[in-house]
Amino acid sequence: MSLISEILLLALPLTPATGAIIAGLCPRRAIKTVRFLGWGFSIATLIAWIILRVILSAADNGLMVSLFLPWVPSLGIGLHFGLDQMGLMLSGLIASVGTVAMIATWPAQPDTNRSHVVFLLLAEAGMLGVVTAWDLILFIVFWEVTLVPFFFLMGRGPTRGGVSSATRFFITSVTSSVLMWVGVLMVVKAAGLPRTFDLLELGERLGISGVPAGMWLLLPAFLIRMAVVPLHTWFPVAAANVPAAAGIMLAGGVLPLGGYGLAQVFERLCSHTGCGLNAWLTWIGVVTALGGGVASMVQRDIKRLLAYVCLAQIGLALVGISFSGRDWLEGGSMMLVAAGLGGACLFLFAGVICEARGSQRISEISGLWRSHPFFAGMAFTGVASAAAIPGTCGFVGSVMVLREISVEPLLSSFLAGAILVVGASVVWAYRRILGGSHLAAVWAKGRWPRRRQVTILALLTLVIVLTGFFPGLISPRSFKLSDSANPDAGSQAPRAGASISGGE
Amino acid sequence: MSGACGGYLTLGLAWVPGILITVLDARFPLAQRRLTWLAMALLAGECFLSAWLWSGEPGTLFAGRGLRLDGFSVFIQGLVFLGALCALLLVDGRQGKMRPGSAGLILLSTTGAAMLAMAWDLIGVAAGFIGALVPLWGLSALHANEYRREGALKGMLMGLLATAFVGMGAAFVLARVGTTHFIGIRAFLQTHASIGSDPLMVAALSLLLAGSGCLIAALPLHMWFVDVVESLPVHGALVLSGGMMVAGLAAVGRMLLVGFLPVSESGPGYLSWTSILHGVGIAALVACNALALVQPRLKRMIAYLAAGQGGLVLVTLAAVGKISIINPGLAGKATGSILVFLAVFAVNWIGLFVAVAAVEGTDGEDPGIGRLQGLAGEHPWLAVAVGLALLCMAGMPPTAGFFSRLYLLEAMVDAGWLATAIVAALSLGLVLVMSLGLVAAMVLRPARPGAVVRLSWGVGLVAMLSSTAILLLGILPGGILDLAVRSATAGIFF
Repeated sequence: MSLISEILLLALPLTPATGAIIAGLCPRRAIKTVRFLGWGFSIATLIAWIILRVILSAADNGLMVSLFLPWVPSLGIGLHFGLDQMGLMLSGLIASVGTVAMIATWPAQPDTNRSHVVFLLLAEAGMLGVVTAWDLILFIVFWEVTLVPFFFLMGRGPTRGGVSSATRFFITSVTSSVLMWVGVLMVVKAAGLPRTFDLLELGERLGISGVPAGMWLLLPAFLIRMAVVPLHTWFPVAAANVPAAAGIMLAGGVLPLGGYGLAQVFERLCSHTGCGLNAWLTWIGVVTALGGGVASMVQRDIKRLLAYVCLAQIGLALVGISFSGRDWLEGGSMMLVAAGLGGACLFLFAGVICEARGSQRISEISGLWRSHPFFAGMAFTGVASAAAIPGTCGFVGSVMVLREISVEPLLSSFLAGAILVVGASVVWAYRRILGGSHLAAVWAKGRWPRRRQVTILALLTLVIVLTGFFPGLISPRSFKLSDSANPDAGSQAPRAGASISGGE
Repeated sequence: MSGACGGYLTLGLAWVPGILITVLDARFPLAQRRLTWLAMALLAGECFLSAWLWSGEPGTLFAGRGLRLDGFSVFIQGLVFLGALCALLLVDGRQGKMRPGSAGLILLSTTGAAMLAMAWDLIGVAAGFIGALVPLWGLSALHANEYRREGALKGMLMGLLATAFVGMGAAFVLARVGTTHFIGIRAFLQTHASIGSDPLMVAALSLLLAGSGCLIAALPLHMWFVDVVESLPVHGALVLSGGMMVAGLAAVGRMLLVGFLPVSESGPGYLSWTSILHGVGIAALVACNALALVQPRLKRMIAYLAAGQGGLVLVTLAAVGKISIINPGLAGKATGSILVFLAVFAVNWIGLFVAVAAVEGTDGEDPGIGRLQGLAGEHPWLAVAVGLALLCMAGMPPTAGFFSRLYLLEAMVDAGWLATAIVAALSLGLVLVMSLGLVAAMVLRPARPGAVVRLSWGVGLVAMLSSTAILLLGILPGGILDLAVRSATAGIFF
């Protein structure tokens, strides 16, 4: 069983990477083959995750599966792959979002079909690599690898701002990434000899209580990817200008990945105390949640509106990660997954209707309810999740975060206000899109949405609802950041009332 | 084969045939193709000889008056010969690209660079620089038009001036120390603790640093380099900006780390080459990489990038000097990291010149970067090779550039230079933005009407070799690091 789980663990990043290579080798005109490969490899990745999830349901807390292969032994660099509870959740999210983006979107120009599939698979491989990497160099390698495919996915946007927003994303990401290189080297140096880049060992050795310089260099990389205030400016612009596939991957994968990096690398190296920065991070999360909610209310572009809604949810996740970073990460992790699933659902919906209408202005999109009630109805789950309506994963995540910070009344009030504002904003926008009748005739024209898009949206809806009722589906048990390679290390009893297992 | 034999062979195999091929090529233009093939065969033989010599004990194989063949020099020579071989492959059989005598001049320039790699004496350094540069001026003059003549003249004047500086510095050292041998200089400096403030030695070291800095295109003496690279044909530009740069940086590194290590520590009124290299390197990193970003032409852009990457090596050399004082145990590994970087640099430059060779017009003028537009659509495999070289230059994984730059940053962090490491990392960000801009032009934009891409089997072979090396060194970086550390410890000691 251990061997199977190790193989499946490796299969998570390697399956899409292999798919990208094979699809890249196909002739450009073999569009059907390329599409088949793209679908096949992304679905295979998702299936690998589901099997792994089933196998690991009986695993202990901590690092549930891990595999180590030497890479550069003289420098203490190894190919250390592993998954703990949070990694398992995030890898499931990324595999799902990757499949959604692959099946539901397809570029209009036949010339770009092959590269679309290759870049989507590479982006998925890179993100899954980040989640499974337990060596800091391996982590950086995958972190950087995701940049290039995203640049190209974003650069092919429907508007002329696609390339400029891709460039903006790229420059901010590159700046933070190269600083992360130096930060990692400083952290490793501080950990002493023999030199190691292994995350678990570094976490055990360091036990940092102050804020060393290396940590200041690590932090921006994660916060920029999370797009939290004040480092958020790249995301709304990018979301408004990039094609549907990139929008889904950004909202569903990249933003949660930043939160994962913050929780797994930063909090771990700081002995889960955030090096004394957790209070600041919590307030940044509150400001992001509140700011995202308020900003979403004044948007006229549907994708920008959804971008701010995603920001608000990521802000909630940041509060969950940083406030409870000392002990339990359930709220933050669940909120990251909820933000990812909800974001993917909303951006898929927005991508389809904007493509059909040829406009992103909310005032020019209305009357959908009359022409496509089923499609519009399914998209409501994404809205409901963003608005934290019971029965969705967004509700579970929000409640868990609120419960974790309930000891801080001021924080709780702000956060509850942010959730209400976001909910009001997204429901209001949804009502405007659905209501009205003057465009119903326009919507009825043309063959849209495609059957595959409806199917994928239905599946995504199902996942959001099922996760809302049974959160244990994606997270087998309540958990703590794995403290060591020893699985027993994290098996202490969870804090009373903090468990999400068993579909509470 | 004895080490002495190997030493003479590495120089002789290139030098004597280099002269013969140049003369025969000029006398019998119809035999140019065969003579070029002969030159390539000799260079391939040199590559194998270097590999064979290295496969034995990488310690001292041969030590002559001013030259020393050891693991370090064999490592660098291998890179130089490989670069020259690829340079000839890139232009072989291309109408108008090769003038009679070109192949021989490349061989002669390579001999000079090989001598630089073996230099164990200040005179050897000066001779190596002259030996590497003079044939390249000739090559530039062979492909003469008005613009190129200007470049050749500029290069010649600056090169002679710089070599004169190195020669004068060597003369001052001889006057004060009594020898120009690295070991002799080091022994003298170790026994004379206050020598750093000695006016004659200060002048000598200043002249040596200024002269050799100019020859390796260190800011602010880099302008001649950019003009000469632009004026040279593809093969000459690759040898100058790739091979000679690698050999020059290695020679300067060995001169400072072996001969002048005792004066690496800075202090009040005390000359320290580490602080000079530190400042110059940082300035070069930032300025040259930023200038590369705005260049409209490929060869000029590559030349600025070479100067910027040279700055990165200079900073790391300074860091090694600092590490040798605060933690000598790490100095060998840090020097090895420089050799890894130089190896990746050589492979990377070969990949970049694949792009130049492919898109350059028949007139041999420096192609504009716009010529790369739409390359992915027209020639996807060539675009992959060029894209890999560009991403490698920016240090993106999984290319070799990632680890090579990470090793250098690690050396800076080990030296305690956090701000320097941050500036170096940010300057790499500049390169990454530029690289991705070019890759985006290749992938996202349509080809320019009338743009012609000239492919030959040589270009294809070199593209395949460089891409394979870039990926292999990136995915399996441990082997090259071990090899480089062994080479470094064989040629430089602390």
